[in-house]
Amino acid sequence: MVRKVAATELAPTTYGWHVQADGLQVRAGRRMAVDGLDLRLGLGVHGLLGPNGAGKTTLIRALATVLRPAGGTLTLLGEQLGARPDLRAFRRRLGYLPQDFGFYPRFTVREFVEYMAWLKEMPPRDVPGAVQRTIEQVGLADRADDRMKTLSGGMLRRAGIAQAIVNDPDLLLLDEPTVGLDPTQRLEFRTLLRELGEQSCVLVSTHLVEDVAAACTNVVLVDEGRMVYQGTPAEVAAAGGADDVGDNPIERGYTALLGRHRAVAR
Amino acid sequence: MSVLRTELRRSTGPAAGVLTAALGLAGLYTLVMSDQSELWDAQWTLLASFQRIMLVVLWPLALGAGAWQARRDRRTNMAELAATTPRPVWRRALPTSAALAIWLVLAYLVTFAAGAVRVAGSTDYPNAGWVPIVAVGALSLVAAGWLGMGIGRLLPSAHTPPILVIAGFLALLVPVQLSKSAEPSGAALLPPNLSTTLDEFTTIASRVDLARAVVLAGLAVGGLLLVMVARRKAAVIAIVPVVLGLAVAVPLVNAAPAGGVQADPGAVAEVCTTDGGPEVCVTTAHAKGLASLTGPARKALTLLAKLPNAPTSVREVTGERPQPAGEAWLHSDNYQPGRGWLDSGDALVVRILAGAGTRPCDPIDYRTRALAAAWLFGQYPAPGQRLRPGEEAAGRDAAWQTLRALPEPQQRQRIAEIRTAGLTCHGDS
Repeated sequence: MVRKVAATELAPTTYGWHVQADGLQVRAGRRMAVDGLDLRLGLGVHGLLGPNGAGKTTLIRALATVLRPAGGTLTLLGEQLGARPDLRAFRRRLGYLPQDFGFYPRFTVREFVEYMAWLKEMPPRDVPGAVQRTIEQVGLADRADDRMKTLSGGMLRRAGIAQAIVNDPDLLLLDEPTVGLDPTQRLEFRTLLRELGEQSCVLVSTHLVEDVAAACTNVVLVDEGRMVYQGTPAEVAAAGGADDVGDNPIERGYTALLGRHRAVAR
Repeated sequence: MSVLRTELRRSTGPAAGVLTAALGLAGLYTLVMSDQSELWDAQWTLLASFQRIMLVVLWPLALGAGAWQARRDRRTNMAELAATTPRPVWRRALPTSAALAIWLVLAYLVTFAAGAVRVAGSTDYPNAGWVPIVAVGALSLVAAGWLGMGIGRLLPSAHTPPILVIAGFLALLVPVQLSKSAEPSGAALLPPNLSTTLDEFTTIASRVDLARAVVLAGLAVGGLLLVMVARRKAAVIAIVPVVLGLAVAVPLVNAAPAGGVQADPGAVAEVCTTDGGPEVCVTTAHAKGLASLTGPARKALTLLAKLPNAPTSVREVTGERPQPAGEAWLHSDNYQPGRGWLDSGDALVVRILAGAGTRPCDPIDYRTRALAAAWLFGQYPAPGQRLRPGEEAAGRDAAWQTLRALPEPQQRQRIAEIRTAGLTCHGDS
């Protein structure tokens, strides 16, 4: 399918990193869930790994401008979030799938994605085409006119991905997008991720380490609100030895890096 | 716009609209089934005002529907996702509010249209007096819907919608209860719902409905502001239009007639025969009754000619003014829109002759009125006058015998006195 390329898409970016965080602190309730995190993310697919409670969701919610940072600096698409940031321009270029994905159950898939495109202030004439394209991309074309409430868990997840990418975001945040997907759908999703990573900065939080190995250009490993390791999947795999816990190289690398970090931290 | 189209189909709007229309239709047609439809089908203003009575139920439901709509983001957990989008809160609220308003107005108009089918078949008096009455009713539903949305956004609890329905219902019951002890006046006229039906010759005082419209517009704007403000702290601004509306409206209703109603001059205006014979007139509201009244009325005039100072015209009246000696009066209660005069032929003649051509006067002396009619008609009991055997029938028989026992000039004198007494009546029956 041929898509019109807007002039803004071809214009060179004026910032070095899509996401730049220095000493970032974000509270989740009373706990400082992200505590002094330094992070640089550019184009490509970044897998966000870490044990439960590591601060992955809190970090993503801060990047999605749901949570206001409690300390440090955060620069998103070249825009530094100050005391009273004007988020409107940034939010037009953001795609976000929350871990707990909320939707209007009475809307059809198409209506819901259209509605999200409207919320993202897309030009009205671009909306119908973009909606159809994204629904096809996530493989829901045959269910496009069914109500959201009739979808299965995996389909809902895909509808969630569709709403996140409908505006061709420059920064795409996906919190646990592969939950509920069957093996075939996960394979398709990885392909989609790789495509998306060519145009934008994609941050995918997941527990499924093999998804990261297969689809990500870069791995971000966090624990207790801090950065543990950032590198390519191959580098992560290389960090693991035969005696580390795991069924495949990247899992062994993951446990090895985490174990080493925790040993130092103590 | 496609988002409005989606909200028109998927929001609370359609359910609220269907419920409103269904209850409205049920209210109207329950009366049809129980043979009381003359409470609303006699005239356009009656239908419009009857709908306003039903607001006592519809208004609180619209309030609850709004609050239910406002809870959607919380109910479906959409708030987080929506908060990360650039579309401002107020702009986002527009299609949802518009959809609810469109459905409520549509439902109100559909109810009116369903009633209109019957009114069109029975009324003699086409007029536009119903337009403001319906407009205020529809506006009141919009105000309720938006106010409900605003309160629902402020207090996004699952209990808010049912509590609002009950609280709204109780609030509207207050003026209804008050109106039972005294005619409502002043601020008690401001609620959108009416407490009693109008009659065909009465309409809502225009300044009262104007005042209601101002208050409702204030409520609607206030509710919309509650829906649209970005921060809860800014919600106090919603008080401004509400207070402003009240400030404009209260002086208006304070100067209004008690009960908030006034005579409808168009409805009571006379329509008269123009054929050169003795004049017969009916009210415009009963214009279709003129043809069937003319014959009996002229026969009644010839019978009344036995009396000194006999009347020369017959007029259907609603009361409230002194009766000239030259007119015979027939009260408008003798006519039912869509059905016609309660009697025809000689029985209708006798109705005109009751009280020797005067209106009923409190306390109504039916026996004397009937005697006068029978004497003038020259037959006892006169057509249409037959009573069931009983005390009243026996008493009337005795009075008739007493009257007939008098010499003829004294009989005439007695009937002339009845007419004179009737002419001095000052109140309406």
